[in-house]
Amino acid sequence: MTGPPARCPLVVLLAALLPALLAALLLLGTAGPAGAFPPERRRSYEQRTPNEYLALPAVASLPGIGVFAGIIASASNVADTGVDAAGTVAESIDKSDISVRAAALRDVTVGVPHLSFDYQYADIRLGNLETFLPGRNSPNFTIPITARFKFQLLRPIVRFWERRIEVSYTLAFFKGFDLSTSGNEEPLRSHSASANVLLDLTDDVVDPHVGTRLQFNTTLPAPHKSIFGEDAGATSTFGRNHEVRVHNYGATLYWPLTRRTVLAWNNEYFEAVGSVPPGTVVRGGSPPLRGYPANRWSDRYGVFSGAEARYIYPLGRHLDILIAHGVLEALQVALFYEVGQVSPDPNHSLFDHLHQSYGAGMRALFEAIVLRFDLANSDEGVQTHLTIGHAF
Amino acid sequence: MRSERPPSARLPRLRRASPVLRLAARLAALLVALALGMALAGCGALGKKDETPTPFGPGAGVPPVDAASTTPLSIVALDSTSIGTLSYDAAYFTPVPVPPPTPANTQFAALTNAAAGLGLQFQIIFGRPDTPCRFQAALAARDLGFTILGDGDKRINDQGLEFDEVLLVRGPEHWRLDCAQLVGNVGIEVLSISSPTDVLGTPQVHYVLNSIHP
Repeated sequence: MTGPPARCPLVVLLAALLPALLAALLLLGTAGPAGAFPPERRRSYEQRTPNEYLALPAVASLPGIGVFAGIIASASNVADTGVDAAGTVAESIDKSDISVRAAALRDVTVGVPHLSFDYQYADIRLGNLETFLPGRNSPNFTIPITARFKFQLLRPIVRFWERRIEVSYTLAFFKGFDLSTSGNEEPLRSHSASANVLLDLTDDVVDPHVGTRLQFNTTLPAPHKSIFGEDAGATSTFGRNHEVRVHNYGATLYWPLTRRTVLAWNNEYFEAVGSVPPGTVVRGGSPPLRGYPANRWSDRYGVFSGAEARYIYPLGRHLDILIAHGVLEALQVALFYEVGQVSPDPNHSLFDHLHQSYGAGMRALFEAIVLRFDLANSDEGVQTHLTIGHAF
Repeated sequence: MRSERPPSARLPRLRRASPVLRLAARLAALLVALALGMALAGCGALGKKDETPTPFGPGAGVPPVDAASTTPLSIVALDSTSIGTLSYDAAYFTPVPVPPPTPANTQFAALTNAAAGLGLQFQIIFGRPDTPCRFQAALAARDLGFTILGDGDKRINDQGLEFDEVLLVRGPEHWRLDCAQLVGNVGIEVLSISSPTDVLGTPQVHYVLNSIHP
């Protein structure tokens, strides 16, 4: 068994400078044009308009998955209960075998102040999902799998101070299969758990224009049995290694460049801590580079930095049609550029030969719902994203 | 005779409803057009190559297969049941003893021709055959420094059995991975190794691949 490799002086220096960098981000981001600290909320998330919804029929083509049609739906403050709901239903419309059923509830309260719950359920079949080996030197050579799995997630969250401070625990259960060391499919039922701390010093929960967000996430030991089911199957090497703990640090700055333009700058660093057998490639995390397939690059350590300029075109139009009900507050046009890298060692290699991704996108802001479409490019081709919520 | 309404009778109503509807329609049309554009532009990986399998053929070079010395070999699953057979030229190949297959090591047979620098290894695989074939190739590229030639191919043998094939090279070493599904969820992976000369296309190797059947 081997522990984490020794850190090089450069990384030690960067680690030492990180608090200073975060403090600078904090001051820069929170000062804002009005100089308020922290920036005042532009609106109260709790008082968002009831029953706003968006149900978007969409045709999408995802590289390595197929062409499919479905509906992406999201509703906020359902019946003025404070609960948000989202759902996706999709079926393939070509020869690929795709079926997606996913639903989510957010902010379900139980009468305890500051405490709420999120719940997610997904039943997914992707007949030809193209995956990649983990590791810095992972070749650009896809490994097709028939992904059939069910997924459930329960997340109690405690929030204070207008949602500026958020602490959550996530328990997830995966029922599907994974690949053995030989590449053979093996059934797998597995729990995972994590904790997340968020400090949100911005002017808005959904679409910040000014401020800073700091986030820390760590995986935790998970129970082997819960209300979702019981673990079964071998610990895989293709998926996550359960002998390590993955720590993820994030800092995002939102800065208004002009009255209608916001610059969002996100930085992330992750590390997998713990002993593993020599030569083991640890899938600690993956930089969220939009120009590559999900999890294209993963290893024990990783860095990511992404900048996105968002031009806001305010509308304030009330929509009351079949697919949308609520106020379409604004449209946004975004340009983004991102870099990221992974490495088995926490040294200068994290900053060598950075993978680059860039692109453009559009967002439609329905008060508490952000519908996002991105078109991203990298040296391995073009990726499209149609989803709910900002990238950061 | 059908009466025509004058244009002025309907246009005002459309104009009254137009701001919201036009905006929604533009937004929806833009998103659908972008998504369809992506699909039509081939951003999806599907259909990027011809999936018609190519026959292995008889192979090329010398020596020819000695029909009098061909020998059958049973393809054995982990529970010791036979799920298929293959044949090889015993005048060319020598069997290499291997331990019984286990879930951790599913190799059940091996053949070698030391003079030609050629070896064949046979393993049991589970699930769709292209997954372990491409997985093993990607592992060799990542961890052993092999270069994957092309993007993999579909092949078919004389028995009508379809294979997924990946070719790799590392200096003088040549690897070929051929994977096929035999019975239910169980299949076979053939790893052909040749060094220093590439003799993976000889009649003896192709005879083995063409002989595999459930």
